[in-house]
Amino acid sequence: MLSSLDERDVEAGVRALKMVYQSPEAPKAHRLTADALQRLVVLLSSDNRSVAEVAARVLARCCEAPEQKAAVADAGGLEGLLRLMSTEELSHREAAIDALATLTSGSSDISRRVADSGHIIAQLLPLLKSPSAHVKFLASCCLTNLAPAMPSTSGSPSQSAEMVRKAVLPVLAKLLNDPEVREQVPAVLSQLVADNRELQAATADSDAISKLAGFLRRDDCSPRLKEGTLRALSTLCADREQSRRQLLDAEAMAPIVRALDDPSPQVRLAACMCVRSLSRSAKSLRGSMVDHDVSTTLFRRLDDPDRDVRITASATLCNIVLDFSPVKEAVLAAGCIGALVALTGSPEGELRLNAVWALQNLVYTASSEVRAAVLAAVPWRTVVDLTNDMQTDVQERTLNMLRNQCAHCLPPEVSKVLQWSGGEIYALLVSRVDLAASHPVSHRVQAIYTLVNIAAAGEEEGRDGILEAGLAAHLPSLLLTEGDDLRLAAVWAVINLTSSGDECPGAAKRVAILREAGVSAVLATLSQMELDAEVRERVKTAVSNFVAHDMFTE
Amino acid sequence: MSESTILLRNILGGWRRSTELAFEAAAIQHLRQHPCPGIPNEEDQSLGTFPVSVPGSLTSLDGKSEDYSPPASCSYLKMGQTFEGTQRVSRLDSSPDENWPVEIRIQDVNLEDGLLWGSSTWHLPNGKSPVITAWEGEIIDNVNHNFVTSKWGATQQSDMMFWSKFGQFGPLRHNVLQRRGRCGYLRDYSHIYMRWKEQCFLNTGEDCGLTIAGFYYICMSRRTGEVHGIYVDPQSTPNHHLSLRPFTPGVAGSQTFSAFQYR
Repeated sequence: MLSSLDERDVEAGVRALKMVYQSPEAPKAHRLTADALQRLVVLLSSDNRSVAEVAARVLARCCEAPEQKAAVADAGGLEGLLRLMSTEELSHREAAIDALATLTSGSSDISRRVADSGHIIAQLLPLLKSPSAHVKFLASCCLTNLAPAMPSTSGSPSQSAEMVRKAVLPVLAKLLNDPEVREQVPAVLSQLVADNRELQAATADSDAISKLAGFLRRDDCSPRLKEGTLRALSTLCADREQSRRQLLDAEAMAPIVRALDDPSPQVRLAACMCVRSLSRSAKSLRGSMVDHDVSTTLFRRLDDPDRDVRITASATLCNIVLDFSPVKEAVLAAGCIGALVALTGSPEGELRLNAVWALQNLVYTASSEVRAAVLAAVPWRTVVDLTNDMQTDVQERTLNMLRNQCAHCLPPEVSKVLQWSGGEIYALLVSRVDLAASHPVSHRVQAIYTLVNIAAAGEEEGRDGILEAGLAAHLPSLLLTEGDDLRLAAVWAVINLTSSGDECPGAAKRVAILREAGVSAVLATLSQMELDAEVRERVKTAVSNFVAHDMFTE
Repeated sequence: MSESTILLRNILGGWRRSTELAFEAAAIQHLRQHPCPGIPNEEDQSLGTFPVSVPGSLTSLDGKSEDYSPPASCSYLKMGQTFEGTQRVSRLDSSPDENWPVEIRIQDVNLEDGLLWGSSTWHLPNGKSPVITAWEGEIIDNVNHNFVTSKWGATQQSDMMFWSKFGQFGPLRHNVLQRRGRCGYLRDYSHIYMRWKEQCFLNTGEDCGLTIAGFYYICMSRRTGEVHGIYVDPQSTPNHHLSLRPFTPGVAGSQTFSAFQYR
């Protein structure tokens, strides 16, 4: 009918399509063909403006898939909609922004094409003040989608991406009160403030968090509202302690934990994300997480039928197992270590990363029982494989786990780690710090600190083992490498290897080896250089360790 | 040790519930009579108020060239760092001071927000199992927190009085007065200043014989990691003095370094 030459047929056809797509039972699976989309695009330029309006409404409802969006854009749909935006009639413009909001959603390419074209931002901004909540909402959606695509060298500062976002934020915050559009607002809000700490703070100041928490507490909260709300809260609380406190004070924890068991996988995923954001804080880990049995529910989600839920649940466990979280006991009792070790063998890179990350955090300042349990559950071969994982993040977290195994513990515990590795740990770590090999700096830092810890907390055997594995030859170049992290770690290695006392009779021998390798000469050079206060202080200590030995031998 | 001695903070809590002014007067009086041993103390100076003009101050006052960067990172102010030491508890009567052994662990440090979290394990002289408290700390970094407390019953006067008890605060004093609590040159300064405030008991109830109503003024040596603290509770005087040193169960002078990341 859309192709008919009779205008009345076309109008009837497009209105029928609109009716179909307005129905909640609209055939999501049935997609309009590229040809039909093209017809709709042509109708956008129809002389009969009401036909154009209806065509825009249909496009707004039927273009969820990226290839459909691309087809509409390639057929000239964006230009047609922008023309419709320039008409006087508000209903036409509303239909146009409805379609633009859909087309720009999730598509940086289309967003850029729209943002680049003419005065669209200037046309949209006044609509934020429209008396219609729906128009305000659609304009907010468009602007939220367009902001990241706006040219950075925009002429007018009032049209910078930042200013646009700042204009949209209060509008969205107010729309949370509007029953007509409320259900869709949190998801857009979440998108608007993602990766922007300033806007996240402004959102929290607008009491949006308590409003959002209020939605979750209501019995009639629809799955869509619940998902959007949980996502928005997870964005707002991801990096901001104050927002976490606001959310916990709003008594939202119970409904959030309930949502972890929601029948909808999207809601379960959003709930996992929200708990993950909340658990990124020492304060909530020792408070709210304990009171609401989060860990047991979360542990169940490791077997969730939905892949994304499994991944986010395992990511959240990384935080839950931290030593200062009393929840840890419950997680351990539930067989957490075995489950995590099993996940380190997953073919999914994200799951392997989360599993080894959780093990790393689990042994952070842990009791000797927990350390021993991890050593017993993880075969050394697995560690070797993980340090060669195709994902470099997995390698780094594995090295960090070794580092934590050897910190804040007694000498027998370090000896256990050395035995566990069959003595291979020295060579593995020293090969990581080798500047001739192409390892990321962060890996080198983890490897050196593991050696630093073995030297500090272990027996003489460990300190001698480190030098036998050839660390001394690498130290001068590590000490001279620009970058405070690596240098500081290397200085601590020198300090710990040269500290003297009754428990380290071999210190003099180690001092001689390090001097032979040129370490003392490099330290002398460093002490003449302009260095960061912390490095300068530690270099002094290292030098004084050498001097102390000289005085003793003389 | 008698139970009543252990309940010192509680007992004293009832002793003075007066106005802030009266508290200050008493505290000032007390500190003048009992300078804090173990804390290198400069010549007692008159207490300043804000704002005040300090002629002859050594630092430039134009404010333009002054570096207000936060303190640089320190090997002892880091996640996982453990300290051990004592809290010296003085009494108002003439009975001898008590030393309460304590172990403290920094659990997490967020330099960007100038915050840290930790736990303290107190061995009270009643011989019962240790009391564990959780605390939050603020790093004086010019960005998130400055030397003016503005809460917990502190006033600018009492702030200056207690900070001045740390000998190394002397060179900063005039600057802090001039800048209403901010202070340049903290980035490389020999000491790092903080406030620690206990939040809750982790393994026991409120009736364990320890109150956590007050807070600590804290001064950490960048070089040695030694920490001195003054516990101040407007509801109970006199103040307690905390002294800590970094603890590693290995070779003296050595340190271990653990790390975690939130996911």
